[in-house]
Amino acid sequence: MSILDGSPGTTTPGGDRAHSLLVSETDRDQRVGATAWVDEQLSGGAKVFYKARPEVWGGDPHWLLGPGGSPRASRALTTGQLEIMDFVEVVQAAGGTTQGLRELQFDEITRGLGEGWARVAMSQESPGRPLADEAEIAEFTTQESAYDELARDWPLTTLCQLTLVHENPVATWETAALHSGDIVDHQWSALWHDGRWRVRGELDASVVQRFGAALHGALRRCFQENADPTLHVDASEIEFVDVATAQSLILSAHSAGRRQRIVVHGADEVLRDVVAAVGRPRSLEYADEAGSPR
Amino acid sequence: MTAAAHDARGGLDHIGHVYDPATGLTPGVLPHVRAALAAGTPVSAVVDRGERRALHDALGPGAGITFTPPADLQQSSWAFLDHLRDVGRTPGGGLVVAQYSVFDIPDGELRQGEDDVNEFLGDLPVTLLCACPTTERATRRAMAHGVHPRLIRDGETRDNDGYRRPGTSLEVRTGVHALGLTFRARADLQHVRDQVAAVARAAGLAHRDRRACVLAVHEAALLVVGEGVSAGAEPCVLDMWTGDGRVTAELRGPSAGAPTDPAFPRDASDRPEPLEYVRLFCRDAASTDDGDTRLVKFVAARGRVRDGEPAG
Repeated sequence: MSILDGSPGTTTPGGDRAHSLLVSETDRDQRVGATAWVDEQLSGGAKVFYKARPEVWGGDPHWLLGPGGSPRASRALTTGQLEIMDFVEVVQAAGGTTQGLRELQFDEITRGLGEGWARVAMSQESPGRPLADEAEIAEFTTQESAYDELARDWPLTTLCQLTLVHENPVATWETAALHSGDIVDHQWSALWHDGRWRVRGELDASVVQRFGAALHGALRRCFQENADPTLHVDASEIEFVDVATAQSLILSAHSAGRRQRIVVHGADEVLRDVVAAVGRPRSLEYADEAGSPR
Repeated sequence: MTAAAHDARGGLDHIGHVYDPATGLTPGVLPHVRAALAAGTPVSAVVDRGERRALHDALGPGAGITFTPPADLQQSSWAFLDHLRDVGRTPGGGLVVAQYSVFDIPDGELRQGEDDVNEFLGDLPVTLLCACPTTERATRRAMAHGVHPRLIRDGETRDNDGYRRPGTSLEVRTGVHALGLTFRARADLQHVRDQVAAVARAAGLAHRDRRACVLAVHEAALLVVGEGVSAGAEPCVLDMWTGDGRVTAELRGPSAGAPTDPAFPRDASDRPEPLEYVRLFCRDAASTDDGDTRLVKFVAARGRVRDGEPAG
């Protein structure tokens, strides 16, 4: 599995794919994806800081070092290129606060670079946070934003992991929305590229909730960060869209309608058929229509 | 825009009109209304207050149009048909304009009514013009596209290629058995789609028809698999056949709920029925549910795909 390149359109020291989300159905799927990413970062010369959930795997936080883990991990652990902490250790080191976590991350970056590594890569496994109220969601948002902020100033690459079997619907939704800029989720993915939200793959009822969350996140990002809040969607690499996905797209367009437009680039005739069958609102346009930007 | 007074053939003229609520239904139906009034035939409009005002403003006072309260036509399942018969008793026939959104009935009941109109009132010298706003839920919009032999599009009233005649027995087990597979969850549908695409390609369907075939199977598969088949239960099954210019499919899965009356093996029409989503992408579809097994079958289009109605 490869993590594709993409960025929100800004130049960052962290480079492309500075902050990604990997969605997995099960622990097994998660390990496959995480292993590939760790291998990629290690072979690319990055110092890797990996945060694991020990309780999930019977108290062994180092599955990365085992038969199902990364072939490079054992040696990397020995050389110091890889450091693994479990969440209990992280909470202790950070003093249980968001600020403490930020300081821990900063320390890891400076230490990694100080050791001579050209880049730093961080990954944390699915946290299983309840996100039971707005305060907790806000705190989660702040913690996630820290990765983007750090990546603007430092050569940092972050992979967040979302393993669905451990997460509730609220956490799944909020996590997908926060990672609209770079999400890899089974048969579909999305990332920012040249000012457009590029969506690839197959979108259907099995992933529609996460797609809808990511779309919401993309709209929110455009609204908050851009002078023109229009969301430009590159649909040229979408291979399949079902009615449920079209409904999600249209629902988002309806709810954003008064403040934002969605302009879809590269929509093929079948995608247009599906969207038309559900009912396209005025706030959803195709880039090749008169009056719409190309 | 063009329209003619009720067709001289003397039978039912059943027309669908999917309209943008921003402009209202009046612009689309006005030519038909004016033609009927000019011919001296009665016009009954079953519409909301806004459309009532728009029609009144467009036609002027004393135009002779009758506004029939929707509530009067929902007192029984036959009330609307009786109203059509009343209008049709006038020599030369008449026109009824019915706005979907004023009928507070389930989709299944609405579809039953539309099918009953087509099946039982085909000889009635009446024009029935059914108007559905683009903001209606997808199943109703799909229904509007499928149950009307004619549609108003771009100001013209034309034959509807997507019209499905009611009561036609749907035979799908014809030709060569091209595919048989099982599935248990929504996550399996990507694999299902790949297999269906291969069948459609081998059958010689053009690109757009292939995609429509895949969509139809996908939507039908969602119907039968629901949230997933529990462990130990029988999996869902997909079979496909090709030949004689057709691609057909049959999907079976666990029952969706209470059984329908076997004497009337139609859709489980007492609740919103996403079979309409399947119909969006195929030539014809039907489903039954006997309490144990839900069956969805359809005939894929060949060389022809239904056009969606743009919201504008």
